[in-house]
Amino acid sequence: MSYTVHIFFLPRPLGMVDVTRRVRALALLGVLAAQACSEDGPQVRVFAAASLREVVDDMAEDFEAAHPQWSVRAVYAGSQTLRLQAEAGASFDLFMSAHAEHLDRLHASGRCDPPRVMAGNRLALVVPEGSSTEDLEGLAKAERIVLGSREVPLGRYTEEFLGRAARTYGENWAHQVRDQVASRERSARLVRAKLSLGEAGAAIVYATDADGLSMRRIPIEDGLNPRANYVAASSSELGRRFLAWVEGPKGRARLAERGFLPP
Amino acid sequence: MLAGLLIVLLALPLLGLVFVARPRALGAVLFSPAFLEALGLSLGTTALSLLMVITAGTRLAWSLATSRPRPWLERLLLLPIVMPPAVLGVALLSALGTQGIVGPFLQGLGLRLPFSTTAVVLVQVVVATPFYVQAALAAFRRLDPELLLVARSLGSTPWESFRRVGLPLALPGLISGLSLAAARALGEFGATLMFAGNAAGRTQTLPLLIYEALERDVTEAASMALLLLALATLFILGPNIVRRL
Repeated sequence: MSYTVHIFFLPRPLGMVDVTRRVRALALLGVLAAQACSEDGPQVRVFAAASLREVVDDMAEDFEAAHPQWSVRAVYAGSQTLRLQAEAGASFDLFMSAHAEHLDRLHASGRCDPPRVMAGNRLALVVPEGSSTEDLEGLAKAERIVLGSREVPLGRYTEEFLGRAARTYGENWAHQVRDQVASRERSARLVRAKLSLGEAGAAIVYATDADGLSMRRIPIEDGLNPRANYVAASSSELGRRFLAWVEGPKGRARLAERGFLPP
Repeated sequence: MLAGLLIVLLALPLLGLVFVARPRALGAVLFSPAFLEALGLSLGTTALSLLMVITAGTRLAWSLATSRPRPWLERLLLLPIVMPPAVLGVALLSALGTQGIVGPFLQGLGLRLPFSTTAVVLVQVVVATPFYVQAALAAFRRLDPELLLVARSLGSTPWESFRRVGLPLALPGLISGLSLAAARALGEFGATLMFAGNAAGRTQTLPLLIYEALERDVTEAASMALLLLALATLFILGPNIVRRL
């Protein structure tokens, strides 16, 4: 039995393909092989907030070097995206979120241990070199401000900051700033990408993300700058092991190296 | 058997959407200002981009169909369909962005594309054009060249022979291509997110709003998705409905 498939758009001689049994068998084999590949040795499946990418990579490397029998496979995305995936059944051993709420909810539905604060961060206001924005007050006159979306932890901390700053600079100031928002991005790293691409006239990112940018940083007073708390929760023995490493002296050192605050 | 499985694979997700969306949520969502705003923006930008696709795309397809064959050019026109949307977004930024190839020049003219509604339209044009041009090209190729020759020999100009003979005969093909292009433009997501950003009322089209809602309330997102799907179905089936009338 053979099927003739006409592939839309392809010119006739190319588009008429004979799909024989052999091809089907090969396709099936490919699927099986792909499944087999994903099952070599115990793997610590880590879900981590986008802003933790480098530091978790560092820690995973250390951890694997110390425990050659284990490997760490990390997935990075906005914490809210990862929570959504976990709720839909994606399994993880350790979840490191940039906001407590996501893990509180996962814990409440019995998907993980109680979450613990593992590190902290601050916000940073960054503008390109040559920007006319000199201080926080001048942010109201900046163009093309890029922030985190309200669903993203960074966006929530940013709203908290804007709320606090409005008490100092006035509601009108906060209103003007919100008016100038050109985009609300889906993860902390996408906000930073818009800065690196030169599209953002000003952006609020995590302090740790600002460190890697060769751009001008406008200081935010401590009283206005909310502390971002990274929380972690494990759901298996493997996850607990890796979390113990993260919270141990070696993990702490890596976090400090990358500019994260102690818990 | 295999064909049946394929149909199930294609249809099941749509069915899933129907099950997740709640009728009560559907009504609430339909009249929420955020949804209406995004819907309006989506329909408006899609209409604009289709207008550009029709005017420029028909010309392009006609000249491809009537001049010497350029198979490689026709194949290259498919690139926007197969490019990962995020890559297309970055590509657009590096061409038309603030630091792109022609971005600074455009800025000199007072045109700053990224984060603008114009950017949304441009992305839609790029992703929808291949669908329309391919269909139009096929439709023009199916025309009997003799008919056009006769028209010319009876004294019509090339433009007249196109408008009065070629266009009416190829119309069903053009409409079918247009309906695909419309559905694709309406559903555009990844490149828009990269190139146009995400700002309610300006660049947040329906797919972007759905993505945002997904992380807040899955039921709400599914209800919006269902409505988007209904619209896309209408676009896809449009030519069949028109033919029945």
